[in-house]
Amino acid sequence: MTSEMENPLREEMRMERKAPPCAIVIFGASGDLNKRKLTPALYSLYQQHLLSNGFAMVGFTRTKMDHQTFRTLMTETTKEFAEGGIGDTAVWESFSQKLFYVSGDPNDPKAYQELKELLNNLDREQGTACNRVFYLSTPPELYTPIVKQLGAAGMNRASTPDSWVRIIIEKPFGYDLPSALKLNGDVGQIFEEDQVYRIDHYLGKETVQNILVFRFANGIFEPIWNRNFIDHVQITAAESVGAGDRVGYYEASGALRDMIQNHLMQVFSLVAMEPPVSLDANAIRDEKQKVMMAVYPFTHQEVPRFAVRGQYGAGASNGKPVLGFREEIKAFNAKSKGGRHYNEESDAPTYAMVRLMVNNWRWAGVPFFIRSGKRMPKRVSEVAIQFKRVPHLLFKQTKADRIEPNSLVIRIQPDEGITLKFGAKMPGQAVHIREVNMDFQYGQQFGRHSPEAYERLLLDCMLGDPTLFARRDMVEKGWELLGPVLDIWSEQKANFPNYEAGSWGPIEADEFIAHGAPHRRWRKP
Amino acid sequence: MITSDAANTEIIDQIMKPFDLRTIEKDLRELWKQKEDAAEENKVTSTRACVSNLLIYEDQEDEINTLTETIIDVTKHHPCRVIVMSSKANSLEDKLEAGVSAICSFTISQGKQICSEQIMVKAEGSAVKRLSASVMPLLVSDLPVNLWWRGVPVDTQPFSGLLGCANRVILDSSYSTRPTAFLSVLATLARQRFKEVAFSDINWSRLTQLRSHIAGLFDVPDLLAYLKDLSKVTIEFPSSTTDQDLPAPQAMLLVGWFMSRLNWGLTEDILRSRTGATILKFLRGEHEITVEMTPSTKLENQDLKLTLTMADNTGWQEARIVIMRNYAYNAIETKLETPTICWLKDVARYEMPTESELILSELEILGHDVIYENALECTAQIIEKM
Ligand SMILES: NC(=O)c1ccc[n+]([C@@H]2O[C@H](COP(=O)([O-])OP(=O)(O)OC[C@H]3O[C@@H](n4cnc5c(N)ncnc54)[C@H](OP(=O)(O)O)[C@@H]3O)[C@@H](O)[C@H]2O)c1
Repeated sequence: MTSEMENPLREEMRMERKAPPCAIVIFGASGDLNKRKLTPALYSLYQQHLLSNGFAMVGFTRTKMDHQTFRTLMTETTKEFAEGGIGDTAVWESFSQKLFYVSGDPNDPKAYQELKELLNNLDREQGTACNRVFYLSTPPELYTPIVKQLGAAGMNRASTPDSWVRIIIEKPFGYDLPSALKLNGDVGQIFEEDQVYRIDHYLGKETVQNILVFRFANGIFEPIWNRNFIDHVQITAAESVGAGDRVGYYEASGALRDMIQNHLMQVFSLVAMEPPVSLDANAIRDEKQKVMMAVYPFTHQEVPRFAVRGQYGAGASNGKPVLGFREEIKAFNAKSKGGRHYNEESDAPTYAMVRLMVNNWRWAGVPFFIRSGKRMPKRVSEVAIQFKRVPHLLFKQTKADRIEPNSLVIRIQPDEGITLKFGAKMPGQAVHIREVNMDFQYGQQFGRHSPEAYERLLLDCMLGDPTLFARRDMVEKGWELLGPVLDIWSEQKANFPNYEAGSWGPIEADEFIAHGAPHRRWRKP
Repeated sequence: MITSDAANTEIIDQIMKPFDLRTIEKDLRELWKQKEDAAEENKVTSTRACVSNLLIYEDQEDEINTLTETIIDVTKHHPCRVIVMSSKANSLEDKLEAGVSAICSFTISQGKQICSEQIMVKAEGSAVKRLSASVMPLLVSDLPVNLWWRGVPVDTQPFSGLLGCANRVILDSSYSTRPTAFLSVLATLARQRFKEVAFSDINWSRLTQLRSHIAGLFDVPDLLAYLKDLSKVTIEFPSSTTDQDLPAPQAMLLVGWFMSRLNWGLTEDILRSRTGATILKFLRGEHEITVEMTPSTKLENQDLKLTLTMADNTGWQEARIVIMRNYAYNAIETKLETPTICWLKDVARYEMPTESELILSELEILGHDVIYENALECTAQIIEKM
């Protein structure tokens, strides 16, 4: 819902988008995510004058604290985790006056009455205008109880015709299709879908947003963005780190759930979607969903023809020997003594790869290979469009008979940018062809850092722009498509470890991509 | 000559020579060869980049050197071909000289340099008339042409010639000793050349933070409700800033902005008080708004102070907002007195933008900035009545 009265002084290209007045309530504010990302992002927005004067943030967790203790805690953690610390202390001081705290059990209705009272006071005292953002930054088991309590306290609906209430949900959005349906159903009973913002920080990254601009604002790419010119697409999210202290989390989720089902599926849909009719959030999300609907839904029997899993064994990273995943679990169990123990023979995939086939006019026959893994040689995320070879090689008589086809690489991290690889003649009498790169780097051309993903997304939510948030149907479709892989992998014992830490993944993945198409190879970005 | 400054910038200069296109091109090629050799030796990768043409004209020759730092800062964020021009029209010689240089800065991804090229062109005597025609072939084709004219716009060469090739002309109304005349000329130019050129005034950019701050106040619905009852605006500025205590250009631009955004119609009712204050009356429908621009000797460290008074028809629910821009503390202070909102005082820190930041903000705009042009047009209407 937008305000009926527009501010005539606001509309302008020179003025950055600025959040309207609102109170943001962070459930789980004593946790890692808030300390590392959310409060630093809000503070950065404040420093850039992108928050309204009528702004307030309320932390909500069990730990007993008063407002002042919470402010002191946030001061310490922001000093540690915000990129430039707290900077000017006077600025931090005025920001911290906008921080408030309610301590309570997420299951206790009384705590929500207290919260409601505080929010009503803030409307009067801070000018938060009855607008609310509820941010669920707690363990996912608490999402449903919190949502129900908010509903019971009547805080799920706007209290005036001009105000709004929104809720941000952190991933994971479920664990598989049934749990996602359950979560979405629970949330859907209390909040309308247009109030729900499922955050996928990947979508907040500048290059991911640039995929749309790149495809649809430049006339030269769209005509070749199809099966006539593109051989296949590789989407990679590689990390050089291992599971480390998060073995427990990783043991339960694995690479398919952790990266592919959410982040990489979103990236895939942006690369493969048809042009939207407008830049309206739902027009874009409709096209993303349409392409998801066109993905061939493989059956349980077909899983080996569509997916490969892997787990790292011991190897090397950054020049140092490192443990395999199962050894990391053993080491964790040994340390934790009486505490939690995890399966030392775990079959959790630290590497996962799927092939998606899109059954539509544009993409018929073009495979999308999507992979993600830990303990790869380096940290890199990219989308590589591999074009077809030229139809017949003119340069057969020369040493040029091994010309590589063109590729276009959109790098998401690090060094966000775009590279086009093509062949060029080397100077001289003979026709020697070499591959050259045409490189565009964000930092270089625009000489400035991209905003942190959380800053962008928090601001979008306060402004009521859900474009970069995952919609319910898309989340469910993602789980539905990958469901058979999750089932088969949990039923069938794996032969792990099958790749060495510090390598580009299991040999099965190399064989897989070249199967029936020997010219295809995984990129080593 | 190769020099490096503390801010990780390297400038390779070549000496000034008589103006000749082929020599300039040859010198540029040589420059890049020199740069590549040096880069190979020092193992740094450098990339030449160019996103636009930036023409800079400065009629005070001794000011040219002070520009270097601004150019370095601008090219760091906006790599472009820079053409710096200066002229000495009253010289008896007929002389046109040019010299090329490369400006390379390390980017945020370490170990990489990004380079822009600069061509300096100096004209003396009758050669000044040939200046615009001479630099025209030096423009990189297919890229926008921005002209930063550091002076007063006049209807003679080289301004008239350069105007013909520019997509955007950047001026600064704070330069002039007769700002009202400057703003009128600018408004006329903007109107007449609307189809070909967009105009920017960096004095308007200096107001962006303040305007954004004022707009931000009315994002709060309770205050927005008061905006329709705005009945008086007082803008105070230090009394020494202008000749004859005419309103400071920024004060006038602000009034022009209110007038255009809030749909005020200017009345004939204009008063110039003996203290130097200019009092104007506007109408929005039946509602009357009084605007007072007044020089003040009482401002301490503040260069602008706005008081907005809002009274509803009954007159008893009056709200007042006082906004002060404090340059000593890099801050905008706001005091608010309304019957419904409790917060009374707020200090927001703003780094005052540097000259290069102001230029960069203009270079980011493609095409017309309609809000500015409307505000300028309204300002010109006010000036006409004064
Ligand atoms: N950390 C990240 O970088 C990251 C990245 C992506 C997504 N996420 C997701 O974001 C959410 C928050 O992450 P996080 O790392 O901040 O989580 P966390 O530290 O495990 O938990 C956040 C807070 O929730 C409260 N809490 C924990 N267990 C509770 C329980 N059983 N009952 C009531 N309150 C409990 C705790 O505060 P009190 O003890 O004070 O109540 C804790 O400080 C999770 O869903 C996570 O999956 C996190």
